[in-house]
Amino acid sequence: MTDAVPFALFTSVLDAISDGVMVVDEAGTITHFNHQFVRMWSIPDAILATRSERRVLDHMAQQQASSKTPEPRTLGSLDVASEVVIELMNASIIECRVRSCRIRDEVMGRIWTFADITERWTEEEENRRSRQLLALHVQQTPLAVIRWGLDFTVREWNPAAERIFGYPASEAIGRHASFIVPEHARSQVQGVWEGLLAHRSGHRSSNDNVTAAGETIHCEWYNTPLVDASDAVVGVASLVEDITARRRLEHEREVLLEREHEARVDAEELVQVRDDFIAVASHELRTPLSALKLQLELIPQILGPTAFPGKERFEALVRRSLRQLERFVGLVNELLDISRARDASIVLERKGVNLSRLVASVIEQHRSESQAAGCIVTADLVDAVDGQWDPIRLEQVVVNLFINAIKYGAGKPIEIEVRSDPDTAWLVVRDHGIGVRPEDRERIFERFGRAVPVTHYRGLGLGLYITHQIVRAHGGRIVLDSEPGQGSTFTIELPRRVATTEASVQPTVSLHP
Amino acid sequence: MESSERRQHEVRGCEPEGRAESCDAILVVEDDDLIRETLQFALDLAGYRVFAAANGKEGIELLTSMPRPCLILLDLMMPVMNGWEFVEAIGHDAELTTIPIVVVTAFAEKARSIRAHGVLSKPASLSTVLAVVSECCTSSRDALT
Repeated sequence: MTDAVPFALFTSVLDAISDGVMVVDEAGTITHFNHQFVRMWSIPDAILATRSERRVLDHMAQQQASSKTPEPRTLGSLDVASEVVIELMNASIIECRVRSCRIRDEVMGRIWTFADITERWTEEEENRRSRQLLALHVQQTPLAVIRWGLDFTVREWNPAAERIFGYPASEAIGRHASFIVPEHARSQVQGVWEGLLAHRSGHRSSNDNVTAAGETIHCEWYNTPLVDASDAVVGVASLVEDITARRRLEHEREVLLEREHEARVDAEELVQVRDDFIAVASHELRTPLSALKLQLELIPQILGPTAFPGKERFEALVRRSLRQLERFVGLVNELLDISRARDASIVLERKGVNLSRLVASVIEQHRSESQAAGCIVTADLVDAVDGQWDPIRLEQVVVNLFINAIKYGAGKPIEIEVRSDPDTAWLVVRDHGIGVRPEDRERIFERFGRAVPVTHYRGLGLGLYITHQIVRAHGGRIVLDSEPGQGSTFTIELPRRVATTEASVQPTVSLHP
Repeated sequence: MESSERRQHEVRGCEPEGRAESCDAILVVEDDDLIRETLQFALDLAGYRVFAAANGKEGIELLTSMPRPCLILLDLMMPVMNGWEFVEAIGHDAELTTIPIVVVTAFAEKARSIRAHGVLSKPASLSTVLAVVSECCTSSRDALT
């Protein structure tokens, strides 16, 4: 074989390959090169003609934008048997290699090869960036990130996993999953694993785990099978959230709610017990009162009509005793009413009631009291004001308002009015006494709500509450108009007939300025 | 009449038949000794013939031996046989069931279910009791005047 054939083959090969090639002898003279080399570096003919390695390298160096290899190198400073990756001005990335050329132990020169690795490089850059980002996430995330091999052993274990399960990566990697799964959860976890491998299921599961300290925690697992190009499962990636604290809080909240409910039931029971007691006590109190009252009333009968020294005074004393008894009976009645009125619904027994007549009778019944208090009572009662009301309860209302007027308006006149229109009846009780302060207006209608010191005025503070309940039950309302020091006007408004939608009536106290 | 017990006072009136001729016998059924004795005393003073029982059972027994009363004053809360049971018991007797009953009780509402001619609320005043009684009975004093 002559030198010519191999040489022709050699040049063909050079032109066939994609890399750029430059062969240089020991003296630095270019002996061979290919088209790709020329094109890659845009080497002008003039420089090529010099066949000078130095000149060509200088030219190449000018194309260089930056070096991509760790230690920045310039082409000219390349050692024999080294490589460097550089970026050109035109954004191409070229991998440059130089190897010494030996033929039978004799160094003949150098072979330069240049590969355009732009695509590969950019891809690698992107991959590198993605991997970096992923690694950052894995490091920073509060979720445990665990990668499992097909044998269900740990391959990757992030800082959050270390924190949650208490094992450093060095201890965790290589271990079978059972190290963080308590006995009772193992079959469940195994089921999840098998589902994942079969691509069927298991993407989300919730189970107990156990930490290095032996503590049982509860975790939410988000699992993804990892597949290769042929879609075969090669492992599983898991994100794990420790929800022990959350579950405990939820449980605590339930416990608290239940306890609060129990407390409320207890409180209601207590209130019921108290109310039952009041009812029984009132009954028990009324029994001896009954006898006492009858006996006091008998005294005048027993004494007979004959006069004797001190008889008038004695009879006056008896009358006063009777009044005290009445007061006592009144208090007991109030107590009993209050325990009954606690239930929202007062059951009314409606009958035809003539309000004017009722009011007139109440005024008459309490004449001695109003006179004793120095209150002159004027009544303006329109005839035939009737309606379907509960007479017993309505009388309670009238008595309460009248007694209050006497109590708080002592020494001053009292005016009472009854009037009506076809649908409504009004009862107005006006006194000129101490009045009600604005801040007390609502309180006096509450149970035990009083606006005056107990040392100056008697009473349990229940009258207006009961009155309000009764008026409300009738579908009516109470309006209070009052000025401290000027007196008070209470106006009761009552529908004369049962409203067809009684439940929808929302009546209460209305407060005038 | 005092208004405080008038609030519970409902007397529908005694039927004339219950008051045939001059009837002045009254049955008081009340477990509290003091109330019972005071009532007895008061009614006696007013000219009636009073028979008293301490519970429903005694009341029923008395009814068999006493003259037919023009009125029964009946308490509700009693041992042995209470007021409701008493009313139910005499309800079976065609004769006894026509006797007017006035319930005297501290719990007027509980009496609403009873077939009674009237309800008086404890503590009832003497005048109220006497007025109610006089509607159903003729006192021996009335008979004299």
